[in-house]
This record gives sequence, structure tokens and C-alpha cells, in this order.
Amino acid sequence: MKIGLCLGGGGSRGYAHIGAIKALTKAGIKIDIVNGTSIGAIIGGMYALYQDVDEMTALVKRATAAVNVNHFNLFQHSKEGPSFLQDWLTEAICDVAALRKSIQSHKNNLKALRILFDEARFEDTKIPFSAVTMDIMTGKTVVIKKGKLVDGVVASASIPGIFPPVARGKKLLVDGYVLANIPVPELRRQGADFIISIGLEEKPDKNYQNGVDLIYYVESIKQKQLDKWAIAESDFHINIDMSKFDATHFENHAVAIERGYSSVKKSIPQLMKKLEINNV
Amino acid sequence: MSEPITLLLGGTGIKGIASIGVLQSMRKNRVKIKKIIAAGISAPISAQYALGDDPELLTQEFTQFFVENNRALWGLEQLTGILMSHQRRRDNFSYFLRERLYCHANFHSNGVLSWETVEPLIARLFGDKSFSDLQIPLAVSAINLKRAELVLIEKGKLRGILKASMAFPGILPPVVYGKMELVSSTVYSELPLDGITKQDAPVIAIDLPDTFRGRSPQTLLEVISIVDDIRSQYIKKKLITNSDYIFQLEGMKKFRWGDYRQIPQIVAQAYKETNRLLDKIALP
Repeated sequence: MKIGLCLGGGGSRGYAHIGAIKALTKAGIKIDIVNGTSIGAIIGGMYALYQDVDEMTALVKRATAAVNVNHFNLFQHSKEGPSFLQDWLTEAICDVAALRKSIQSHKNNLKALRILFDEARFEDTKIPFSAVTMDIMTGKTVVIKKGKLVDGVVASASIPGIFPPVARGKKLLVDGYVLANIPVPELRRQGADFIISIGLEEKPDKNYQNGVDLIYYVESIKQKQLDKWAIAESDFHINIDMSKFDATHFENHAVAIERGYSSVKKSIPQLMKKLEINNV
Repeated sequence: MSEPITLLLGGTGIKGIASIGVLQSMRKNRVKIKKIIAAGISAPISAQYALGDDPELLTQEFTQFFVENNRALWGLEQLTGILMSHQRRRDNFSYFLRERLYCHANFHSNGVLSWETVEPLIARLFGDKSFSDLQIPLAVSAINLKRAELVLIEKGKLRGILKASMAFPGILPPVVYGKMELVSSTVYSELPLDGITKQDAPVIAIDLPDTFRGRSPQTLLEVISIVDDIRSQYIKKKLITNSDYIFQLEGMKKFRWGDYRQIPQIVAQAYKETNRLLDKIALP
């Protein structure tokens, strides 16, 4: 019986997946196949390639130190109201929004991903791994299982609007979170018999102050529904409460890893029982 | 066609005006409607129908409204250019302006338009009327922002909830309704499919198919619009199986959500297609 591990997206909150994997491996649970979306694909790909939590942690530290620039503070409202710089940047973003496909390029992403994966390919991983993306030309989820890991994972983490879509043949790929933030059905289709899924819980910010906040808030309601459908197909779902953890602060990886570890550790007894019932 | 049906009406933006044609066809074919569940602009159309008025009157009302408010609604018509990159020239300055306007308005306020433009029309059409004045039961779908959930309103004054049904985030500000703050549920799913109960059967859902597929987006706003739409369409597809009959009005693909100059054509197309689809099925 194949045990599958499905890792959900959620920006820097996803470093909690490293802690989650640490707790699962410490409990002696052997993962046979892994998939993930966005940061879930990054961590899932590393796990499939290295099978070593310490090495993963060291690489994450290196990559974060090399490229981490937090561009997203602009969107956080301060009590004093927007600063001159914020106002100016907002205007600049409106120009960008009407002229380009995204606020940032993939330059930094690719630099970080090359530190994590170098030239490794999907075919090189020690257990089967797939990265989940979405094609905006057809509106369908696309699962990548071949080629360079960097190329597959960068598409899976191309948050629409923030990073440009990745062209692959006739497809235009963006972050798989659009339809499959926790890609359980996709892992099932790849042959996993018992799926452990891990989601990164966030609470939608009800403090909407403008139309952009409001659109984002409504999207989070849709996200909740889509996640609910995906989780329903999982055999054992663990929700790591990351609601107080800012998804843009990649430098806080140690805190996220620890939270992932302690959260999943608590669920291990229940998981073992479920595995036993299913004769795994 | 003796058994009364529940009619499910929705549609994004102006496209929801197709509901006028749908209701005209239902009336012509003597389909008995026991309840209407509506979202978006379909909610005021359904309310007016449920009051016993001729839906055709609304075609004239809406057409006139958009003619009178052409200047104020410039942003809306311009915005409809989103998702039309196949037709636009890259150096089109007007296109740049409309996207910039949308972005600017939404960073500085709760939408491109204000209620001052739309409120008088709702007030004139519905005055102080309540749900209890309706001859056909109506349930209006909206999103309750405070609880992040979908709600169905079936009681109280019509005006507030009908406004809320049209409060499309990014276009019009949310509406305070009692203790709730509401926006249109069409951004979640074009059709209020969550509102169907067993008692509503048989249900006819009027689906207005999407148009965006296969177009390469050129700007950030186009990318975001496509992504939002893909998610709404996916949710609709998952939930639409709750309906007994799905009427897909394929001809609606040629219209856009801001096509307010095409209202009579939208209504005529919906009327024609609903007639054809009613002929095809044998209702119990």
C-alpha cells in the first residue's frame, strides 16, 4: 500500500512542511510518493530529492539568505495610514498592473530554486514527486512530473499577479493554488492509496480597507471551499495553524519549521491508529 | 409542464440581464414557477417578475438607465475591455487608462462606482416593497463578509438586499443590511447553487457559459481576472449537479459582463435559447 504525502501552498508558512516531514519520519512513517502546490511543491520536491530534513533546513537557510527581499510590506496597512512611499508605490503598481503581467519577475525565485535543486530533474528524485500548477489558457490543473525540478516548481509557485505565468508549450502556467492548493485528488490519480495531506491554516483578514482587500477577502472564501473539497478526499488531514504567521516573511523559517513539527507531532497517535485501521 | 419548478438565476455583471429573456420565455411557455433563487442583477429582475410585472419593462428601464448614466459609467464600459486582449492593440492608450483607473479606484476606495448612481433606479422600481409583497417566493443570495459565508435572504425590505445582490467587489461598495455587510455572491459562483434544498426540486439552473478560455493575458489585471473567473467557474461546475435541469445558454458567450449597450440583444438571445431548451425537455 502506497502512502502519499500532499503538501499545500501558503507562501513562507510552507516552511512548516519541513517540520511536518520531520515529525512523520521520526514516527517511522515511510512516504512512498509526494506532491505539492507552490511552497508545498518546493518542500515536497526537496524531500523527494534529498530525503534528509537537516539538509533541507540548511538549504532553505542558504536560499533565504541569498535572495530574500520582502516586497510585500507595501500591502500591509499601518495604523498611521499610508506613507508617502506607500502611496507612490501604489501608483507605480497601478502602472505595472496596466502594462505588465506581474509585479515581479522570476529572477529571485529562480536564483533561490537553483540553490535548492541545482540541475536535478524529477527523474532523479528518490521517491516519485509531482508539482501542481494551473494552465490559465484552459482553466485546468496541470501536474508536472518530468524535466528539471527548478522549471516545474517555479511554475507551481507563480502566484498570479506577483510573478508572471510560465510558458510551457501552448500552456501558460501559474501557481496551482488557483484550483488545487492542497492537491489530494491529483495525488490519488498518481496511485497513492493512503494520503496524508497537510494544510497551512490562515484566517482571512476581515480588516478590508479598499477594493483590493475586498477582492482578496472574497477570494479567500472561495479558497476555503476549494480546500474543503480537496481535504474531503484525503485519508488523514493535518491542519497546521499558521494564522499568526505572515506568509511573506521567508526569513522566519525556523519558527515555521518548529510550528510544523510540534503541530504534526500532536497528530501522530491519531494518524498511527488510522494507518493501523487501514492495514498500512 | 404541470409541476411547478424552482428557477435558479445568476450571471456576472450585465450578463445577468439575460434573466429578463429567460423569464419572458417561462411566461410564454406557461412554466409554473414556485420559487426563484437569484444572485447578481438577476435578483432585481426576479423581484420585479415576482411582483407580477412584465419583465420586458425592465429591458427598457435598464437600457434607459445606462443611456442616462453613460458618463458616470464610463469606467464600467471601459473595464469590460479586460479579457479582450485578443482585440486590443498593445499601444492602445485608452486600454491603459481603463486598467489604471480600476487599479487606482480600488486602492483608494471600495470600488470604481458609488451607489449614488444605482440607488435611484432601485428606489424607483421597488420603493418600500417587501418580500411579503411578492406573488412568487424569492430568495436572494449574497456573501456576508463579517462571517465569510453565503446567505440567502427571503424576508424584509427588498431595496437593501437587491442592492447587495449587485455589490460586485471592485465595482460597487459593500452594502450594510441589518447586522450584515453584504456583497454579490456572483463573484463566488455565478449561480446561487448553495441555496438549493430538497424541497426546491425540480430545479432549472440557467447557466451563462464563460468566454475567456484560450486568450493569452497581456496585463496583471487580465491575469487576475482570468484566475478569479476560473475559480468561480470551477465552483459553479462542482455545485451545478445539484440542479435537475441545466439550461446552458451557449449564445451568451458572445457578450461581456460590462456590455450595457447590448441589453436588448442579450435579452433576445436568452429568450430565444430558453424557448429552444424548454422545447427539448419534458418537465414532469
